This record gives sequence, structure tokens and C-alpha cells, in this order.
Amino acid sequence: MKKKQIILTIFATILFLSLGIWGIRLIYGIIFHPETTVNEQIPLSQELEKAPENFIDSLKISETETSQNLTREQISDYITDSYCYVDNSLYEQLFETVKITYEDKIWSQFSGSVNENDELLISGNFQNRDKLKMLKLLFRGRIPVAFACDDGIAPTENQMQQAVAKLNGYARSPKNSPIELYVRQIDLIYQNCPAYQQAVTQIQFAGYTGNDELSPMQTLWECCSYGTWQVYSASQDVVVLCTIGDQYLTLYYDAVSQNFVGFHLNFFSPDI
Amino acid sequence: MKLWQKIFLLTLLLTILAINTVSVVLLTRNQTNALSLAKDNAQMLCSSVASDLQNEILHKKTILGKNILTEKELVDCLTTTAAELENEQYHILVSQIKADYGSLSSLPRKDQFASTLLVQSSEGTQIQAETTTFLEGHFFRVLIQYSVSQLFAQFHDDLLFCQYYSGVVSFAVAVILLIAIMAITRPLNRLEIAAKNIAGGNYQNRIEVKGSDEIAELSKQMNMMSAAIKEKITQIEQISENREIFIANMAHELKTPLTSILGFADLLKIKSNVSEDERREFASIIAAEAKRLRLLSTKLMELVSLGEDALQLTPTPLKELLEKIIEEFAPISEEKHCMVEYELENVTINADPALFTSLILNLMDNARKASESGQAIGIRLMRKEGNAVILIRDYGRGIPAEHLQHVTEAFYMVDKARSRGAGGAGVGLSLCKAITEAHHGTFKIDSQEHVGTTVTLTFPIIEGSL
Repeated sequence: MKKKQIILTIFATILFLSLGIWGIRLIYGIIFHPETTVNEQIPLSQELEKAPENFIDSLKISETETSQNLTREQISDYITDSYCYVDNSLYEQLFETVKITYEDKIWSQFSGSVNENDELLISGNFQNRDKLKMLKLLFRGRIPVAFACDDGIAPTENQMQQAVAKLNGYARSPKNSPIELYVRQIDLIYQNCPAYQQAVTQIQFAGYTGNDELSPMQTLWECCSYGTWQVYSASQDVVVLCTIGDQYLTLYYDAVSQNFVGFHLNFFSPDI
Repeated sequence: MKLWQKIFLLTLLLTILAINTVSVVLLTRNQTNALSLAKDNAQMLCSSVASDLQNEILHKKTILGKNILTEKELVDCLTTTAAELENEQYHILVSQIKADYGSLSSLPRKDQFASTLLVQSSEGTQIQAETTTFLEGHFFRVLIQYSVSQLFAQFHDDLLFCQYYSGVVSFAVAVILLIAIMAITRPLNRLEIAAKNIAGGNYQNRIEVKGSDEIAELSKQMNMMSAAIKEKITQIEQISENREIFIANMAHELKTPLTSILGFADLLKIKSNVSEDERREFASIIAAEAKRLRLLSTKLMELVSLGEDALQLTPTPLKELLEKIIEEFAPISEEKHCMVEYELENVTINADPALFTSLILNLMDNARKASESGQAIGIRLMRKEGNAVILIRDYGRGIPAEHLQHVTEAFYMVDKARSRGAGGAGVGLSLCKAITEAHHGTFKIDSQEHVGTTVTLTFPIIEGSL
């Protein structure tokens, strides 16, 4: 009887010790869940939400630090001086692109300022067919190098998706696309501006890679064939950028009307 | 299952459970901290890589003299930078996120969060830390595959060590526990043996008491129980023996007068010419023996009834009671020309007056019987140390020392012929002792042969009585 009890005790002891050794693994498996420690989702920073807007803003005609605010008379004088470099038809065609009729007194409706780079930025609001449009023009060396029209209507998400999809398609094959039409329109607007022609000639060298025979090009559109078209967008703005070497051209697009509504000839820096 | 086995196995089980739980809790806490640290590192690394990519783009733009990079230049820059930043601890994957338009809300839901994920792959265990960054007008997903295989290998080693350590400690605990429990429960074996001995009737056996724990206390109690049982058994044996003697004596004492009665009755029946004097003599003998039988039966009845019922004791002034008894006893003592001398104090005790009277009368009658003609009998009642003490003294023949301790036994007679001659049956003193004890008193006889006998009765006085 005693022998049986001792055998039973030894057996139970071995069982408990074994259970203890393997039980650690069991308890460990129950308690330790590395996934719960590691797996985590953290909301992204607010800065990232604003990043596309900030980036697009850098491509838009923006008001940099103002060194001098101009009166309407000063603006008119500045425009009058610009006639030495561009003729009247440039402004007519420019305003025509956004369906605004140009007349000489139109400049009196603009307000503006000269920034520290000696660039003039003027802006004004115009009523056109029940729509209020805001026009912005940037002058360098008394020549308009950027133009934009904003009717202030925020596009819907769907319109933004459509616009970006469309422009991506245009950017992949710009030939015969609205991009080509718009750039050719710009060429047409500036056809009588010698400084523009000079800038276009210079831009050839920026985009030239040395593979082809270099022949003089007459139009911006032809220069753009060296460039790379890229589409950038934020929540309400979309632009198309053509990078030609170290220079680039920006086209502004309105997602609501699905039309180009401006441009910025970033490469165009007339001597000022 | 024995008690030591139960204690041992239960304690071992709980100890193993405690060791394992504590070990695993500490281990997992440590490992969770290490893993959290690795996760933080991966997250920081991810943010740092995103920042490095941004800086590298700026650097490249400066080198190229461009304000903006083309998509190809951007991808080249990111790929090169990611490759440069990689090492064997982590890999970097940068991919452009296909968005409908440039807004964070237009990104796929998973890309709207930074995340960390533990994954098992063919390359081992990795923490995948991901974040979204905005570079040159495009959203990119930066993914860091941070290897934690080494860390998990360490975790595995720690677990094995824990198992080994737990096994060794548990085994050591088992051995120590077994020895300790066997030592602690050993006295129980002695108790078991002792209990068996008691059950077998061996009450002499005593358990050795060591220490002052519960088992030692139990051993003491067992020893006391054993002694008490032995004492009770001795008492029972003594009572049984006394009862046998009592019955034998009673039978003898009944037989003696009955023999006389029957003998003289037969004589009266058989003898035809019985003279008037003889008839009177025989009848007197028969009457005397019958009287002795009646007295004997009365005393026996009193003795038996004393043991059956509790007495109804009432406060009784002893001085008055004793004076009355002495007065009643005067004619009897005068027969032998004995004078009763007494000295009585005022003392009150709880007593049954009738039985108390019987007690004193018995003792006074014994004194009278022991006294020679003309000798005095003394009675003294006094207060001593909170008790009432009654001394009844005679100056008669006294009791031999060898009989003194037996005289209170029923039917015990020092001189049987003389006792019977005086009408006694040896029941008086035992009755007196029983009455005294029924009054919560003590009964003591001091005697010296040819000098006299003193019976001392002590009773508790009622508190506050005079």
C-alpha cells in the first residue's frame, strides 16, 4: 500500500513538473500577443493634408512679399509702358480666352503691387454673364508672363476626378489634345512679341538632349515636344506642367468648366 | 491518499503555477517592452526615411538647377536614395500612390494612415512600418521592412531558458517540500500509533511532545485524554469492585438477621413444649433482628436516594439545628451516662435540615457507641477560613490505623461482632460521607486507638451570613 502511494506521488510529481515546463508555453501563448503590440494605425499629420495645396500654390500666380502698392494710375501707366513690348492685340486675345471683352479702360478695375523681384501682380474682379471672375496677371519687364482666371466655384470631387483623369490622358499623348490647342493659342497670343520669341528660342537649348539635330523652333508648342508633361492636383486645383530641361511652363485648368483658364510662362524672364 | 501526499502535491502544484505565472508575466512584459521599442524604432525610421527622401529631392533639384523634377527624375532619385539608406536590418520600399486627385481623402483608406504591422515572411519576422508622404506633387507610400527575426530568436531563447529555469526550480522546490512536509507530518505518525495503542487498550503509552506547535498541543491533549481514560477506567473498575463488595456485604448483612429470624421461627415451630419465657426470648430476638433489617433497609434507601436526586438545600442556621439535635440525643446518651459537651458559633449554610439531622445523629451515635460509660462526647461548631467546621469528638476506643481509610466504605466494620451487637451494619459512615458530599462539604476522620476519634465536617458558608 505504502509502495503504491509513493509510486503515485512520484508519478504525480513528474506530471506536475512536466505540466509546469510545458504549461509555460501555454501561458506564454495566452498572454503574449506580439501583433497587438505592433499592429497599429496612426492618423497622418495635418501638414500632409495641406501639402498638395501648398505645392499647387507654389505653381500658381501667388502674391509674394509686396514692396510697393500701386495706384490705378500707376497701373495704367505701367500697362501703357508695356505697349512698347506687346501690342494691344495680345491683351485682346488674352482676355478673349476667358470670354472677357478687352477695352483700354479695363485696367482701371485692377489693383496691384510690385514685389521685391520687380514683378507686377495685378488682379481684378469682373462680372461676366452672372459670373464673377477674378483675373490675375503677372508682369515681368512690363510683359505679361502669367495669366489666370478664377470664377471662385469649387469643383466637386467627381469633377476633380474627371479633370485629373482627362489631363493625365492629355499629358500622356499631348499631341492633338486640348493641351496642344491651348499652347498653340499662347503662341498665337504672343506671336507679335519679340521677347517671347527670344525666350522660346532659348528654351530649345534647355530641353535639348543632344540626340537630334538642332533646328530653330518658332513656337512654344514645338519646344514642348522636348518636355515632359505632368499633372498636379490638390483638393480644388489642378495644373499641367511641362518641364523642358530646367525650365517649365504651367497651364491652369478649371475642373468645373473643364477648360484651361490660364498659364504661367515660368521660363520667360525678359530683361527688366 | 495520505495527508503528507495531499499537502505535498497541492503545494507543489500551486508553487509551479506561481513560478510559471510570475516567470511568464515578467518575460512577456520584458518582451512587450522590447517589441514596443523595436516598433518605435521602425516608426521613427520610417519618418526619418520620408524626411531623408524630401531632403534628397531638394538636393537633387539644387544640383540640376530645377524648380521641379520630372516624374522619372523623381523616381530615380527616390529609388537611389532608398537603396543607399537600406542596410541588413531593414529594407525600404517607396511607391507612388495612385490617387484620383491630389487630396489625402482621395487616397485608398489604408494610405490615409501610418501603420505598423507584424508580418511573417520567408525572410523571417518583420515589422512593416508604413507612412504616406507628399513629394514633388505626388503622394508616396514609404514602407520600412524592419527585421525583428533576431529579436524573436532572442524571445524564443528566453522562453526556453524560462522553461529550463522553471523546471529546475520546481524540481528543487519539490525535493525541499517533500523533506519539509515529511518532517512536519512525522509527529502525526506517532499520534497515529498512539491512537492505535489507546484503541487497543494500552493507556500507559505516552506520546513524546516536541516543540509548541499544533501537533505538540494535540500530542499533549492525546496524553491527557489517555490519562483521563485510564483514570476513568480505574474509577469504573473500582466502582465495579466496590459494588461487588457492597452487594456481597449487603447479602451477608441481610443473611445474618434472616438466619436468626428463621432459626428462632423454626424453633418455635418445631419445639412443642416452649415455655413462656423461651417464647418471649425467641420473639424478642426475632423482633430485634427484624428491627435491624428495617434500619438497614432504611439506611440503604437513603444512600441510594442521595445518589439519584439533587438535594433542595435551604439556608439553615446550624447553631439552632445542632442545639435541637443535642437535645433530642440527650436521652440516648444518658443511657450510657455520656455527657455531650458543645460549643457552637452562629453559622448559616445551605442544607437539607432532615438529612443534616440524620448526619449529625449518626455521627453522635457512633461516638456514643465507641465511648465507654461516663465518657464525654464533644461537639464544636466554628467558622474557619470562610467555612463552617463541625468537630464531633469522642474519647473511646478509637479506630486502628489500618482500618481508618476503609471505614467510610459501605458495610465495612472494624469489629464485626461488636458492630452487629450494637445493631450496626457498617453503612452509617458511608451514608454520613454521602450526605456531607451532597452538601458540598468534606468529611474527614482522625482517630487514634484507645485515645479517641474526631470527625471533621467542613461546609461552605453562605456569603454574607453571620
